[in-house]
Amino acid sequence: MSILHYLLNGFSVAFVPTNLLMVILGSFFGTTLGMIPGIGPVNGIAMLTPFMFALGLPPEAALILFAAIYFGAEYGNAISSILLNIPGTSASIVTTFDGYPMAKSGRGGTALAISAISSFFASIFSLIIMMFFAPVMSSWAIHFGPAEYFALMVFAFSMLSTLSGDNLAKGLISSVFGLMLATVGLDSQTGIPRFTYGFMGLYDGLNFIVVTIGFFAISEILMSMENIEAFKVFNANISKVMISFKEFCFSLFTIIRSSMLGFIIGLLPGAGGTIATFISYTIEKRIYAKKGDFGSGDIRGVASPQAANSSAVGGALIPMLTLGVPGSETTAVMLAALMGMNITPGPLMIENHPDIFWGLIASMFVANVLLLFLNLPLARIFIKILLVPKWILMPIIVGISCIAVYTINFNMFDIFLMIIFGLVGYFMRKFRFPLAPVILGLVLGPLLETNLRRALIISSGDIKIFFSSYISVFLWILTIAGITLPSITKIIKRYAK
Amino acid sequence: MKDRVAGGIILFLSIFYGLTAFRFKLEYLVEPLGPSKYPILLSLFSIILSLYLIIFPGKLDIIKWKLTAIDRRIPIFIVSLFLYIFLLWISGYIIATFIYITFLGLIFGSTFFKSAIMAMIFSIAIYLFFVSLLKLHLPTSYIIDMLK
Repeated sequence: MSILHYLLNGFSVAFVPTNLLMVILGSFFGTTLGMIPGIGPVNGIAMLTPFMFALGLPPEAALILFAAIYFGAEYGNAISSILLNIPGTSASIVTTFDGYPMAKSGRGGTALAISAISSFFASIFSLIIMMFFAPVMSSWAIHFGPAEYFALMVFAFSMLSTLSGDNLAKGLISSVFGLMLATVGLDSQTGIPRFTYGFMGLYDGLNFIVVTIGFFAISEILMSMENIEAFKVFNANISKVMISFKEFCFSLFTIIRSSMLGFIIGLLPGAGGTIATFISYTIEKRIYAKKGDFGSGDIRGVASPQAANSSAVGGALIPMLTLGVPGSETTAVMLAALMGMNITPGPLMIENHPDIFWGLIASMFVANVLLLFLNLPLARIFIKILLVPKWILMPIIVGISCIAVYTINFNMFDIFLMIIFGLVGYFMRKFRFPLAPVILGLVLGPLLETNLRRALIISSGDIKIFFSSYISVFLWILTIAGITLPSITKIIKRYAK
Repeated sequence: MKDRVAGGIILFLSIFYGLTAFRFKLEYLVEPLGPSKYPILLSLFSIILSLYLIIFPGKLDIIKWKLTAIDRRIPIFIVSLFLYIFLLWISGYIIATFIYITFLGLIFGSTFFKSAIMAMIFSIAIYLFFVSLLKLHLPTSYIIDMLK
């Protein structure tokens, strides 16, 4: 069957009423969650997962909802960046550089419009590439054995640790901490309880929803308590969210370049949208060094990070779907949720569940059209959500977090654990430890350990198996380069000075 | 200094984790690693990293702690969350959530009346959503359960 045929089948899945409803809900929730500073798609997905289980939704519907939230958040996060100068998520920090000056000079509507349009074009671009690239990657990854998978996961951790913080040691500590949390519970190979300390609630291991909500939602609320004032919306009364054709043409090449770059960076584990936005913005700034007005309200300064960011979402979904190895906290939570529904993303997913994969692609085409509509004519309605006072928003988040965690096992102990992880997450933020590697460690930990042990069983304990194939060796070289290159570059720069 | 404090805490916890892992023993070892070697490996890795953090603390070694009235709300919030669990157990979902959400509204700067209205709407709406729509059970009062 050709790709077009598969895609048409995907649209038949996408237009199933339940899936269409998920697209609409996901796009709406995603835009809202991305817009409210501090919540983000990872919290939204973690909070909604127990409801998915409770409703007994099919895996494709859940995946469509999660992906729509992920894409929607990348659209929504620009709204608070442009109007409040507060990035909704870290990936929209760069959008504030030119978006906020545009809003201050009365061009908030133009900034919101170019942000939505660049996100739309970049998302469509990334989906088209994904359609062609994911099956190729999948057929390539089918040759991966336990040793290759182990090397791939180590590479993912090294990249995430290197790129997610300002200190490599802290990034690696966060990864190891996540891997340690994953060892809690009954050992999958021998059935021995590990680190349970007699608590029956720990025998099944730590649930990723409990840890994620604790780490991201509760710790974020604790952080927000340090600054309890309401958000001050600048220029909330925007009359028109639209750009002229001339303005669009003016930004077109920036959108194309940033989309391509965002997709490639999104593919790398750990790099994700944030790094894509910084790199694409820097490149555009250099290209238009003399002709541009970057930093003080250049329309391309909004188009570039938004395109890179949205394109990176498509890129980030590929390793999660085809290799079963997520590269960001959001895709890690998506992977864990899917595994909870007995769907294990990996090389065989496209072959065994083409309805899920192609249904997802088709749904995301629909979702992006919907998101464009939500973020252009309806942008003014979303802006009103930013005006909801914290005394309504924060208690609701706490209330929903508690109930979401409770409904996993109908157990108060899980709420207790969520609070503990909230505190740990808060202190980790204060001590500037990145949180994303912890979630990745927790989700990938069991897979990493299983592949390590499986590889050693195959080789009867001989560690040479980890270097026995070209793929493994290549991944180890990449891992070493990923860890050492930043330090080597620093040393070279120091000597050059 | 703060990185060194963090490094010290991580070092202590890593040693504790590693020592616990040594206790996982099997009578018959059917595979090369067994249940303990992987955690021990993680513990060793973590010990090395924490020592590195102690010896080479980062440049951004500053933490802003605002010891103002707002910051004091953080321990109050944490204690209140634990009390909420206790309250859920004692009084059941609706009453506990109503009290707790009202209290949170006050912490976040609202008036009692506004918070109470919001808490009432929230607790009843969530209850109806879960119990009537999703057919899930929410915590019921331990006291009422005992009296039954």
